[in-house]
Amino acid sequence: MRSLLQFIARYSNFLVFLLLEVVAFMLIMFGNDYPRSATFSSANHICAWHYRNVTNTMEYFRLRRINTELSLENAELRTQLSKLENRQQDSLAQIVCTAQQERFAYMPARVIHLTTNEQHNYITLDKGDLDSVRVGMGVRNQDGVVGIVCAVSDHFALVIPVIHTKMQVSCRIQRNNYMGTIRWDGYNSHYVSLEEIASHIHPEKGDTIVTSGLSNAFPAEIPIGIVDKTELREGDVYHTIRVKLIPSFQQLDYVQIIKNRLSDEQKQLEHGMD
Amino acid sequence: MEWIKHIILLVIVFLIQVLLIGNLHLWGICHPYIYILCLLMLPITLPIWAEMLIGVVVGGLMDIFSNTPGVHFASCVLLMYVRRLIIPRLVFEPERLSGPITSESIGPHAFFQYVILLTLLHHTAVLQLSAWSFSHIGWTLLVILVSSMISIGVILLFDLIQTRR
Repeated sequence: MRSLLQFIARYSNFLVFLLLEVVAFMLIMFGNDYPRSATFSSANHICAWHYRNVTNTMEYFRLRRINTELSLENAELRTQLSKLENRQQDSLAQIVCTAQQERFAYMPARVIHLTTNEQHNYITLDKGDLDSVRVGMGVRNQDGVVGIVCAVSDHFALVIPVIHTKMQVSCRIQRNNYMGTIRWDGYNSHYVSLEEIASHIHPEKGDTIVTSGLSNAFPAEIPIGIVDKTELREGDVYHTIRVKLIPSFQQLDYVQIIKNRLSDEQKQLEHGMD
Repeated sequence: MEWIKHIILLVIVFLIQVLLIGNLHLWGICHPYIYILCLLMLPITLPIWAEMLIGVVVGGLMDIFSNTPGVHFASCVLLMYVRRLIIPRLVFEPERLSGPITSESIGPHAFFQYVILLTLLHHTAVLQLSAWSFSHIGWTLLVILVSSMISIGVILLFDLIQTRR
């Protein structure tokens, strides 16, 4: 007993060191997968408040670019509007299901902090629980898919972007509707890889990759990226495809949170089947 | 008084790290962590366990701001522990050191070695832990080297300014 106590007294510093490192490794192993608690992330009150102030200050330097983007988006929306008006006049007699039509609602939000050079990147938004943001909602900007909400505090939300090594997005090639999965290798924040495209399919450079609409978070046909390079080695079952992301993550400003009004109904039905 | 000065320095360096350097995106290759500056300069009058706890607080805060649970925590504790192993090997009579560790108090040569060794150690720990695999080891090593060089530069520059004054 005495020698044990002596041992502890002699190596107490080293033991404290080991204990602290074990705690840290537990955090690394289990903390990364479940950043559900908004308190210990940049969505917590003090952090987010800081980041919002910085964003507010920096915004003045970006006004010109934001203006251009907004006017471009305006033009785009106007074209869509006129198309829709035309279509409505063509088919007045047609009956439309309003529930399906209004299935997805969009809520504007602002990016107050983001990282793009880590393996586990996160985006913090200035909308939270009180604005009825929930975990699992999709996020897009005018260009395409951004990510999925993974934690919410009262006023802020934390988003896992496409460029996070544990993120997967179900997608399809717009030209021929073949399904695949988008995954990031943690390397370059401009490119992701498209997986599970079998060897008999022929993806081409320039093909647009869009969301499949199979997940609850995103409606179909939101652009993700453009095929940049494809490779099929001898004996491979799947293509190795590099996709250039359409949204520029380093310049993310305004995004839209996608609210799926029928999400609960769909989940209930699907779980009822099991 | 010395301690109040040190805490103010810590807060300022921390804010610079989080608000300024955290927003730099230099092609994903450069992640300098200059907040270790105030950990490196900490006087060695406290017991080692207390220093490690300071490492826990600073690393933990950094983790919260950068959404990397545990990574800076582990690296800062390692830094604080190894620091106390290294100092007796670099300095002749470590018991007599009472103020902050600077190039003035332990000599420029020893300080140079001290900063380079510990910054490399800390950056290797942080970047390898956040990569969490050896599959891109070449890239990780490159990032560690570039980031450490910049951090070391900033820390030495800060020391130079402070001792000149």
